[in-house]
Amino acid sequence: MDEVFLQASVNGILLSLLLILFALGLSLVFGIMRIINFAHGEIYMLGGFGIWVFSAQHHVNYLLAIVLTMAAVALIGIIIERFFLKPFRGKLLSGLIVSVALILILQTSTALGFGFQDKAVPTAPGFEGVISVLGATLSRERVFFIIIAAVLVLLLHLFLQRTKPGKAMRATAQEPDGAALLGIKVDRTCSMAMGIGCALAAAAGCLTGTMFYVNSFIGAPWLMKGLAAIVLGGLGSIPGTIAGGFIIGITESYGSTYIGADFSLTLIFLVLLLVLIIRPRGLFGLPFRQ
Amino acid sequence: MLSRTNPTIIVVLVAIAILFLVPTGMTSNPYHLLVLTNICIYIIAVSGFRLVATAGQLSMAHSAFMGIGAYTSALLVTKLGWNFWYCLLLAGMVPAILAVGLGRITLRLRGIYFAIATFAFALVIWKGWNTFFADVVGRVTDIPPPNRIGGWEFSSVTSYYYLALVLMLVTMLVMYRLDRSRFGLILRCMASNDALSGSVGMNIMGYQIAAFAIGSFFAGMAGAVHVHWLRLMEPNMFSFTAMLYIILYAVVGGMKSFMGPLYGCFFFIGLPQFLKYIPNYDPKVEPVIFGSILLLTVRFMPGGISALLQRISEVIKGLHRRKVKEYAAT
Repeated sequence: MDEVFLQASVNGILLSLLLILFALGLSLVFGIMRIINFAHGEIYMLGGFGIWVFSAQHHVNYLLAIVLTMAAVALIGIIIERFFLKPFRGKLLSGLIVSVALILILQTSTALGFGFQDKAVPTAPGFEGVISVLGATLSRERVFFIIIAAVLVLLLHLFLQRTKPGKAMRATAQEPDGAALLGIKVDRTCSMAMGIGCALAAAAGCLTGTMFYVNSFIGAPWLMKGLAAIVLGGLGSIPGTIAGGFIIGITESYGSTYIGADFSLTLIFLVLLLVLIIRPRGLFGLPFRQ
Repeated sequence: MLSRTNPTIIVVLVAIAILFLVPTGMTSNPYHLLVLTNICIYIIAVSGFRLVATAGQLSMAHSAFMGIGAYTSALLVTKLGWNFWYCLLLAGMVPAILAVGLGRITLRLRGIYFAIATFAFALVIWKGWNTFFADVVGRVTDIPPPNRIGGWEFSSVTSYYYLALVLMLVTMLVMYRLDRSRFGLILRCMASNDALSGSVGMNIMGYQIAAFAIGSFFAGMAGAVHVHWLRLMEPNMFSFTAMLYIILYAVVGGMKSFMGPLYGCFFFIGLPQFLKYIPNYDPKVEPVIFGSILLLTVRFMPGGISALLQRISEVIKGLHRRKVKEYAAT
């Protein structure tokens, strides 16, 4: 198999999985609280800083560092949700404005706190080197990251389908009043959704930050790709988000490889426009609840 | 006669007079004029954004349109040598046309899709600028000052201030008239309930596209004025952060009133001028302060400064009425 194609494919899978982690957070928050958290990109950025602080600065075991980062960012997310998102549940445009404020605050605080230069996170020991797969050489780190990301997505799926809190979340997303009538604590479910969503985005931030770099401004392009993924998949649909994430991720990977990295963002935007023209509700879109 | 003249008109005329007399009266510190010019430019841009918001849509592409307008004008003037004043109009028209295109695709869907699509557009323009366009056209430097009209030249700080001031006042007048007109009424109807509006036969798409186009026109124009003021254009000038600030100015100023953008711009562009007198003040913290102000505003004072002033004036009127009653009773 052509090596370039294989590399692009593997990269595409990795990129897709990371994007899915990010987009699932957006999707969960939207599904349950009916607001798009535009500050989600900054949550992802916090994940990147988290891994830098734990792994690069304090040399904590890499996997442990990921877990710590996810927990810390989840906590931050829950605090944000409680104080700033809760009053605006269901009000899309107000939520957007609040997100804008959060973006300003988060971007600036991290830039002031950690500095404006790019930060590098060294590859964890044991993840170095290359592996040969199907005749092509792939970085071992990336293969591990694929596994980590896939495991996280799977865990989320199992959580939503098999556990009681997960089912409570799905119920709340479908019909909050009905869920409340059944005794589901809507507030707690919303906080949980935010926490999990932020943890996933933080994980994406950790992995991407290690592969590339971290600074206060890496959030915005990811937000755009995440939004494209959930619009493509259908707002409010988890399988849709996964499908959308794969399509966008693979598009970006092949686009970068064969057309040029700069063009990939434009390509994704064109895909987004196409979706909005042809099938606005996305692949698996649920009808909007008023 | 004075007791029957609407006091608001007097206040407005006095304020305008003050603005015109600033260059002559003030401490003759040209820096103040620079700040005021900046404020005027942003009032134009934010007014456009607020108009689109009146229709119930948040255009996240507004800063990108400023950039597009700026680039259009800068390139036409430097590369083709066209007259500034025509370029200024074109700087507004190009974004307006793009807005119509973008609007036709996205405005038939719910508001959130419009926000997402315009956000994506803005990001693509901004990132594309830094990479694609930067190689093709890059920075534009040595933009000449606007061409003379009649006896007026525009190369000095004071004269450009007047240019910005006049354009700002024209913009405010346009917004005032639009707000008070049937157009404004229809926009507000659509914002509160578009299904109902559609059912009585309002052409929702048409009006929303019109609002988007007009708002983007002002964005482009503001961008061009900004760039010709600085005599230089860099791809990074109209970044996504600029968009966040436009939202900030608009929301805190007050979205319901055409005066909102004015209050917002004066507040946020003027405030740092006072903040810098605090010892050990680091201007880099401003976004945190501003973001916090925005959060507090949305939570506790959603109408913004214009709503606050409205309430204060109502209280004053209430007190006045009581006093008149008491006086009349004696």
